[in-house]
Amino acid sequence: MKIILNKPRFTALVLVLILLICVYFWGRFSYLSSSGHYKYEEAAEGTAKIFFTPERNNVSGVMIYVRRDATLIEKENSYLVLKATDLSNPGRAKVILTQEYKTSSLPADGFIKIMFSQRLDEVKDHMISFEFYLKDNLSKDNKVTVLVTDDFTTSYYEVPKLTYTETVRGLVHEFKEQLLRDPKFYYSYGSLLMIILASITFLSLVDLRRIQKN
Amino acid sequence: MKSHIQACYDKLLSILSSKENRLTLIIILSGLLLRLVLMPITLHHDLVSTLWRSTLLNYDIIERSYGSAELIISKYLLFLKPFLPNLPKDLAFGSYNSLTIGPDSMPFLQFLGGREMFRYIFLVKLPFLLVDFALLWVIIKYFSKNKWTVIFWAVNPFIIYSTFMWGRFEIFPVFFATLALAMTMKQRPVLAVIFLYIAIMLRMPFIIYLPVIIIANSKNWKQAIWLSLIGLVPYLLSSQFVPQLFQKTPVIMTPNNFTPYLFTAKIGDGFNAISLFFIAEALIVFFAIKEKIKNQLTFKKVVFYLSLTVFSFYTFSFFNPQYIGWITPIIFLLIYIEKRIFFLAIAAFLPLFLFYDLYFKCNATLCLLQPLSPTFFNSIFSISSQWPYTLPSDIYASFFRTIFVILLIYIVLIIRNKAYENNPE
Repeated sequence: MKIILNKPRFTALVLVLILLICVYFWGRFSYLSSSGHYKYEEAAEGTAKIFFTPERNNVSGVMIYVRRDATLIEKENSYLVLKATDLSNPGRAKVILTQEYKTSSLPADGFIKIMFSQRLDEVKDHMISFEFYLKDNLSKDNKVTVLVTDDFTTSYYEVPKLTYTETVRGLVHEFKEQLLRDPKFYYSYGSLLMIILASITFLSLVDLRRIQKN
Repeated sequence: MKSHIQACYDKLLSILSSKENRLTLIIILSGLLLRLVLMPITLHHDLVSTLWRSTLLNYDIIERSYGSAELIISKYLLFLKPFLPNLPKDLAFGSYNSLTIGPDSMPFLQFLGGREMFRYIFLVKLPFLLVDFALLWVIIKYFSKNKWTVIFWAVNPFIIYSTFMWGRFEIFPVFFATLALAMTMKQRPVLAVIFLYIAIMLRMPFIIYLPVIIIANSKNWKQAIWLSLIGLVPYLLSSQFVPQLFQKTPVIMTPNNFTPYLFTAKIGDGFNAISLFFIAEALIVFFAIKEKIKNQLTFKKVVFYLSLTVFSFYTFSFFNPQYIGWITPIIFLLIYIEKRIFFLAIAAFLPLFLFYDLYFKCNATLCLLQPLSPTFFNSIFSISSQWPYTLPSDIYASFFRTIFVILLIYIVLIIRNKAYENNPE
């Protein structure tokens, strides 16, 4: 059996290399997406406030970890309102985002992803506040319902600043752990992939005409 | 017995020693590998919605199925019920009232954290793989004169994205619509129309293929009406009317959200609003009938008019990301006629994917990989958030959608030249 680097194999090799380069650059940038400093503050009565200071420009959104009490689920037709304000110039505080989440569709314990409608260019070291409050849609005057801090607490989530190798290693490790939660599936699925991969390799490399002649 | 095995072995060896057969097999196996790798590791919350509604149906909590395709999936899951004992628990059964599962809803998050998550995703997507192989059979049987159709099956980004990544059942109607086109090519009008109506039964929007297929398959007005009526049989069987006659059969609830899509691209407003898609469709039908009356409607022209219809839909209408799978049947025919379209179709997917990322955000692109690592993929907003652009994202979104539409127009121009090669009119 002789492996020759002919034209199609060379093309495949080049394509694989391009793919690896793309994956490398994607990995280089991905973990930079929402780094910054967060500070949680128990704000005035009924609201929860988080202050966020991005460490870079071009921020397109942030992620906030929300944990809430079961009583919030029962409040039908209520909305959790999020208001983000840029406080960099105290005289001209600018509301950059107002977003509403239906309380019944909120996770009991999970992430709220806040995407800005457009990328924020000049926000490095600006202080941005995220304010949460509950809005009751049924009340005529859209009165803001006071949130009790015991019912609703927030804490921050930050994308860890990993190096590329750490990101990939962590991802692979997590994937493996995820798969190993169901070992029966892990082994049968893995074997199936290996069989197909082996068949493709066999068909591409072994000249069956020679075997037939022998 | 031994000699029989020897004979089989020799036959297999002789089939595989042909370079062409071996190459086809490698292409098919690579396509299978690609699908198998993506099947358990990608997921959209729509798939969990389907799983959720099917489970509710199987546990007699609801009586209505959300369309014919979901009824098939629920029957398949009913068959698998003994093998999936933890499914209700993993879906947080009993704690959620809605029929639709959102990206942040409790059943979805619980499902992602479940021990047997990969197994469920893989099993739910398995029937799609079987139907995809049935589609391969149709391609090999009717379109394999041009090998590029088989290669396109293996790497078809539209189906891989909408079916194997997103996890929707788009492959069911795509299979029947491709079969309908193959029957049109083989001049089997009744079968063509019945298969197309089965596709419509599974996904209502396939109705956009109908006018040209009826025109292509009928010799006169009488036959056109007759064919339209014959095709209605499978549709009536699946509609609300017939299943209600059987007490035990779950009633199908056809999601009635397609029609407004056709009115999204319009000129004017309010009273004066006119749908661009319907104007395009009316013109296409008019010219197709004109050619039919002149007896000049060749098969290539049918493909040209069909591609115009389908591409008008993708140009003038709103469509959810996974609906792009519906383009597949016509792309197979186009590649069958002109292999250059293979490269253009693959190229068209890239701007479309970036458009999805800018318009629908991460949930339609990178976040489909959430099962791999929910924490990691939740922290990525979108591909577009990685480049340092200064313009608002909607400008980039329309830019990429325009590139996608330009590529579709280019494909139509190529097929027009092919269809009118000997008749420049």
